[in-house]
Amino acid sequence: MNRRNLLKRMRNFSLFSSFLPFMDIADSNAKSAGKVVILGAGWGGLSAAKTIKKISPEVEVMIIDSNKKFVSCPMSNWVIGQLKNIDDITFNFDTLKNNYGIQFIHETAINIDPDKKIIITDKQNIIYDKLILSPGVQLDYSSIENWNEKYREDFPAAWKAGKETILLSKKIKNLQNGGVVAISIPLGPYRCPPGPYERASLIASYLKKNKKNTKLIILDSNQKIVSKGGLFKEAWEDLYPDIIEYRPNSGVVGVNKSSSTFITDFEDIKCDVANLIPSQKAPDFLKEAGLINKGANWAAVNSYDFSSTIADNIFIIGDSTSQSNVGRVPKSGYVANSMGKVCGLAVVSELFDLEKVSPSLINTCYSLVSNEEGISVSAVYNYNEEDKKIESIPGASGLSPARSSIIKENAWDWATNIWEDMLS
Amino acid sequence: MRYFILIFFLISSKAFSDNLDTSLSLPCLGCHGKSTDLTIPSLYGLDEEYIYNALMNYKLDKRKNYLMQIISKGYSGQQLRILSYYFSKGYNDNE
Repeated sequence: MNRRNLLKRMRNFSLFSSFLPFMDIADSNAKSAGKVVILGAGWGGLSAAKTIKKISPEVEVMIIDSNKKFVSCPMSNWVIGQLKNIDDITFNFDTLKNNYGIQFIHETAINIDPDKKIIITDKQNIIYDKLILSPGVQLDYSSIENWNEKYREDFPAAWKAGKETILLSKKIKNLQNGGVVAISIPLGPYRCPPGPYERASLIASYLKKNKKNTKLIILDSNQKIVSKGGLFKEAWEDLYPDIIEYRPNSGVVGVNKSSSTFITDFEDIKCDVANLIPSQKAPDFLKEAGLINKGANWAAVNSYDFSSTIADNIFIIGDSTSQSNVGRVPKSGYVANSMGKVCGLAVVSELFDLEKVSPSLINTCYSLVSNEEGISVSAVYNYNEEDKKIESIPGASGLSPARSSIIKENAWDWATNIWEDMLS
Repeated sequence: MRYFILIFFLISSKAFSDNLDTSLSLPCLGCHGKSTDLTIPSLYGLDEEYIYNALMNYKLDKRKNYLMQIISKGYSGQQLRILSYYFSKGYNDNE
């Protein structure tokens, strides 16, 4: 890697030319560019990969993901609510491969050897200089009595966009008049805090127009709606008073497959469509690799650069990171995108012995409350030197004042833009 | 008072250069990209003063848009100046 070229590129590529602090140490000798391996071709991993390649194309970037396509979790509720098809939220990696030279390996990661700097897949050992892990969440059914993995078709989670999204979408479409839909919501923290409530809204919106005398029962493990509560509640009371029944402190603790029944601590609910969103944790893979502290469910990281607190040369971003390390940032796609960018800059800094810049993150999260109207929540975050966590900046966080049709348009346009930001 | 502080920062070139920071502009790209046919506007190549005034007016609640009123309060006047500068410089993928 030639530092002069790197700096020229930074200057010419205006959005990244604000890397000017780095020019102060431009004369120091550059190391070789290095190889960055990224696990996970989701919102965090792709954002990190593209950031690195934009600034420093000489760095070799390889992404490992068993999925051959990107299916967006944000907007997947639109598919379940019959507003979009799965094809509308599915993308390939061609531009990242052809225009950015990012290598994709469709294999399953099995273990990491941090001392030898090797990640082991089901097919090979891959050597890295820096490893970025962005593996998302693992669904955890351990608290569901009588659970069997074979029940997934009867009680789909549809919490990772893909075949269960299609399955749940079909079940909603095929529901008979007079049918009952139930959604079980886990205790936080889980991926996408407002997601279950948006899903409930979109299903109710579809039922209202297309199915007579149907009910949607929301069985929430939490004491109240955990995100945008007032706005969701107001919309449900105005739009779906005869359809939605919201039951707090009522998470599903068991299932009966033969009778298609959800079991809570208080009652058994027989339903025609049962959407079981289970508890979530960082993938067991991270635990087996020793990157999660004993007794914890999420990966331990330094919030300044998302480096592991446990192993050198390893970074962890996105939903699998621990909020007790990072700070109170939601497990959202936008946050994973921001984390990927912060981490990408930090990795380039380490490869070239440059000083890291202080992290800056944004979250904006749109939710639809019907097929016509949306709501949103936003915040800007930076790094608090005192408690060493990412914090929302006072005054710079808040909700949309009310639901509106323009927010629905903004929601799809946001997705269109951020997909492009990551994928093209 | 706010304006006074702002003017102080603008004439203080050292403070300006010390705080140039790529990480500031990257999260904005989640919403504001290159496409010009979306309800969220592209900022690339717009006039620097126009962007800066818009951001400052959002920050002071003088320009309407609830979301940008929230986001703009996450940055100092000096940081908004930096963001305006970089977005106005436009996007050059070929370099």
